[in-house]
Amino acid sequence: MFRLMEESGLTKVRSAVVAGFEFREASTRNAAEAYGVKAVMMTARKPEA
Amino acid sequence: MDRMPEGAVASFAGVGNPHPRAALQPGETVLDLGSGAGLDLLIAAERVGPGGRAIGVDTNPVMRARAAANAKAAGLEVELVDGAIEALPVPDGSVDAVISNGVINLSFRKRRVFEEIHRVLRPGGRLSITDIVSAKQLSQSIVNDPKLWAS
Repeated sequence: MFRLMEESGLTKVRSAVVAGFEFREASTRNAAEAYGVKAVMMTARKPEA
Repeated sequence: MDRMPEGAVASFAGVGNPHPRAALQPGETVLDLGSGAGLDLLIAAERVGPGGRAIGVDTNPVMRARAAANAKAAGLEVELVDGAIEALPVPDGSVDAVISNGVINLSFRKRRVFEEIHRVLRPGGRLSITDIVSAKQLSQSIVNDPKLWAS
């Protein structure tokens, strides 16, 4: 997603992991852990004209 | 949050809180991608105030109706629009801030979503989202498992 944001023309792309997020279902949590799935917060700006 | 209707809170399916970094100001126009039952949209509406606009885009008419009912219960003005996040029904450069919470990951056309966000933001406008990302390519069995899409 970060690369796509930059390629769309957005700038100042920042991200941080959302602390404490977890999936409700245990099976989903296990799959998420295996694939390195995380919740993240992302911000970006459209440049001034 | 205490002032938000129980229906909006109970149906919330976000993964974080995009509002602190969105830093919405009174009078601004904010667009919520995949507004669902409306919790983030209502919080945004409260922050932009009666002089601003809080627009929620969702393809699901049931969720749009729920969001409208929740807005009425909260006494807040919102605009609910039928539309896909890959083809936002909003004019170019008309939005101060875009927010979204746990929705963009569901799109198979993420590049198009970000192109649309860029199109609708005014110059200097900002994006604040929370979502889930994967460090590895998900297997097809995971991608095709409907239970994993909603848990």
